Amino acid sequence: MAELVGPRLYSCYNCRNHVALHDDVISKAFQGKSSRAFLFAHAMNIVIGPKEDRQLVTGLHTVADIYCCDCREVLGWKYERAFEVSQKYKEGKYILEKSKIVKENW
Amino acid sequence: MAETNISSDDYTVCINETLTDDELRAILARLQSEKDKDVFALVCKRWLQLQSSERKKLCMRASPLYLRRLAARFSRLIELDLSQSASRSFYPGVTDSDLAIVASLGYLRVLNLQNCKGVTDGGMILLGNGLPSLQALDVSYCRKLTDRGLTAIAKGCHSLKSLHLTGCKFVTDGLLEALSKNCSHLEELGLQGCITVTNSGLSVLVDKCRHIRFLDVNKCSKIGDVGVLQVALCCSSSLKTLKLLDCYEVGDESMFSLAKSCKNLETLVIGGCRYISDESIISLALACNCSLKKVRMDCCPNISDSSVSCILSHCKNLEALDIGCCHEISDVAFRGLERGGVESSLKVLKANNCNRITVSGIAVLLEFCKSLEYLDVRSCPNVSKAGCDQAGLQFPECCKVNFAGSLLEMDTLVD
Repeated sequence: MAELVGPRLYSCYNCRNHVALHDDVISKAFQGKSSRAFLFAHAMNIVIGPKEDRQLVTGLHTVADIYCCDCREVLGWKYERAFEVSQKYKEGKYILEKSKIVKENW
Repeated sequence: MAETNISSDDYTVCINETLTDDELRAILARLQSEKDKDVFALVCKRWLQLQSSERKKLCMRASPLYLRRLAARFSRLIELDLSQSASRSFYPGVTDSDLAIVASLGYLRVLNLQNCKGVTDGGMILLGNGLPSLQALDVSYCRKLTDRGLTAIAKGCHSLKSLHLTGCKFVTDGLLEALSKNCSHLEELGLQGCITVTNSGLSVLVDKCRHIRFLDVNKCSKIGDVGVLQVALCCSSSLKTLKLLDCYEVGDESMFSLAKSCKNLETLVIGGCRYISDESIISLALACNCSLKKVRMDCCPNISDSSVSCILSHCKNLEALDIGCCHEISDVAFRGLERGGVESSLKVLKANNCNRITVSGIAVLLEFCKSLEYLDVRSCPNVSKAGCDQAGLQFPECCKVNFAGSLLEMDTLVD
């Protein structure tokens, strides 16, 4: 059987639903709630929760938790609005915690 | 063999042969529903051809082969929507070779290519050469596009009225110059996220394009007072919507110039413009008191009660107001409603993260805003559901209140 070479994917650790492409990784040096986290330009097959204002290490942000669309596990959050000018680059991007995602076939 | 006499009573007329194409088109024009028009096309090949040539608008997500057949069938198309969803898809989507087919639809006026991430400058050049009647083009999030391709559109489509380039971050002042030279009828320009555009480019644009009524430079952080001043001067009577989200170099001077020149301003977005202060907002509220409908000024720490109060008392047609994260604002701001006296037409108020607003302020708000449809008081420590219930506040029947975040977010009401 020929090996199918496709885009490198990350999946939900709980149900293996595809949630992100490796191509969309912007940074691997982020800190999530409990573990390391990656910053992604885009995430898919996720449900975006209600907006909340959180005082993070880097300042005041409006974020929304993101859930796997199949099993509803919280996988990370999306930055909706950043109060500090230096943090604006994060707006519209997604944090997925390393402990909540697995590499899919690579 | 006996000859059969064909009397005039027996002579059968085939109505399809008698009716001319023009008569059939007249009949088709009187059909109201799409379903009837589709059924019309099922009668015979001739009726199919007539219906197809009359079809003005098409919206589809099709493979290249199918697109070729559809373009051949609907040759007189005026509007075409090929927009895709924002999610990543593994199918190539719309490509430049598809645009070669689209370019053959010479009557096309409206083309939507939003999120067609595969299109490049090559495709734009084909469109520019083939579609002289093009009036509206949306290439938002077609991130590969640069000045080279879009300039070809400007040069080829002189009737261009609406151009949306949200997220096309390679666009520079060069394109604005090309638009200025070639598309003087331009009315709508969306440059959200086109981060390299500067005040100079904007000035060159409005020098010749004087009919702009919608200008979106959200997140174009190089835009400042210099550019906005030029826009206010050159497009004074036409400007209705101006979006300057996170343009931190835009300050009081811009607001004063808008107040002086743009009396028809309806929608203003200055969220994140942290140096704008009360005095200029007050002058704008007074000058555009009849026209202002939607104002978004979240994250403006220098805005306080005096300007918000002025907006609420003077802007009679105000429908939506966003003052989130404006930490100086308190209940005093709502006194403007009392001074105005008349019932306000306010439908949407976003006041999240306003630490100094309390239940008393909300009570005043509800007294004068009977048409309120959405209130956002997320992260306001002194406004809670329990507090409002305790005070006996009566919200209008259709009003949705966001106390602690809900899935039903109404983002787009104050853009």
